[in-house]
Amino acid sequence: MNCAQVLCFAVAGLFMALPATACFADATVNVSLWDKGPDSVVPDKEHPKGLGSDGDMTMAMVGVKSDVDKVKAGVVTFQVTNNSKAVIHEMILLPLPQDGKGLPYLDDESRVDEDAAGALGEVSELDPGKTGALKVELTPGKYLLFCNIPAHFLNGMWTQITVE
Amino acid sequence: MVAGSGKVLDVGRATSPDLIGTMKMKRPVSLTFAAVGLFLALPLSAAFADVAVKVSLWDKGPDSATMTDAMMAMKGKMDMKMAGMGMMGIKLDVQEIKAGKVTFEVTNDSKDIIHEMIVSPISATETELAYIVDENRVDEEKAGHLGEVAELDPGKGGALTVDLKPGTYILYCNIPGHFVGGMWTELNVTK
Repeated sequence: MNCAQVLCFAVAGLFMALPATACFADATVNVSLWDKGPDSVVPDKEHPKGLGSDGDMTMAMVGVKSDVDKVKAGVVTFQVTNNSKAVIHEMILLPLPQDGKGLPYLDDESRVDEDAAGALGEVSELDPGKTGALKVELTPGKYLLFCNIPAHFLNGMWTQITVE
Repeated sequence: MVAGSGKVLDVGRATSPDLIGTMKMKRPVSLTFAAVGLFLALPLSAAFADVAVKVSLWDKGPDSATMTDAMMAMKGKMDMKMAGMGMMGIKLDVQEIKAGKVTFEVTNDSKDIIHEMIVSPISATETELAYIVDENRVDEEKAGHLGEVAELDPGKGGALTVDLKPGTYILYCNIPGHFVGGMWTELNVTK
C-alpha cells in the first residue's frame, strides 16, 4: 500500500462519514396523502371523521398514511408525497391534545385552527404527485399528521404517530 | 483544518484492518473501492441532490420583540431598507438558487425567543402580504404559504424541503410582532 492509496481511502472515508451521519442518524417517516378521486371530499358536517368524532374512518375517501406508527424521539424527517391524481393536499404536524379533547376548529373555514393547536410545522399545498419534507425534533408523545385544506380533516384526512 | 485532519485520522484507524488485508491481495483493492463507492454514492445522492439553504433566525436578546411596536406603522408593507436593521431577522447563506427541490435548514440562533420560518411566494417586493392587524401577524393562509418549520425553541433546528418554481419568495417568522419587527427576507429562485 502506497501513500496515494492510504490518502484515497482516507478521503473516501471522510466523504462517506459526513453524509452518512447526516442521512442515517435521523428517523424517517414516509407519509402518503391519498384520496379516491376528484370527488372524494364531501361537506365536512356529513358524517364527520375528525379526531374524536364518531364517523366511520373505514368510509373515508381521503387519508394520511404513514409507513410507521412509532418512531424514536429525536430528529424525525417526514417525507411527504401527495399521491392524489386530482386534489391538492398538505401535511401538518401537531402534538395531540393531552386532555383528550378535539382540536380547535374554525367552523366557518372548515378547518382546524392550526395556530391555536400548536402546529410544529407543515408541508403545505402539494400539487398532485408532488413531494416535500419536514424535519423536526420530537419529544416522546403522540402526534397528529393531518391535512388542513378546508373540509379534509373532518373527511378523515389524519393519522396518529407515537414518539417513544 | 484541524478538525478535518482529526476526522481523516479516525477514519484511517477504523478501516485499518481492511487496509492490511488489501496489502496482501491486489484484486480486492478494486473491490473494496467499488464497495466504498457504492456506500458513498447512496448517501451522497440523498444528501446533495437537493439545493440546501441555511437559514438563521436571529435576534438581539430577550427584549428584541418590544421594538416591533415602534415599527407597526409598516403594517406589513415590506421595505427592503428595514430588513436586517431591526432587533431580529432572518439570514440566508444564499440569496439566489435554482428552481427545483430546495431544503431549508433552519436554526433558531436566538438565546431567548421562539422563532419559526414560513415560506410564501410573492409577486414583487412591493407586495403587501395579507396581514391580521389585531393578531400582529401575517395571514399565512391568504398569503399562500408553501410550508413552515414552526415554533422552534432557542437553539433548536428543523428543515423543510419543498419544490420551488422560478420566482421570488419571502421567508418570514410569524410569531406575533416578529414580521413587522423585520423578521423576513427574500429569496430569488431562477430557472
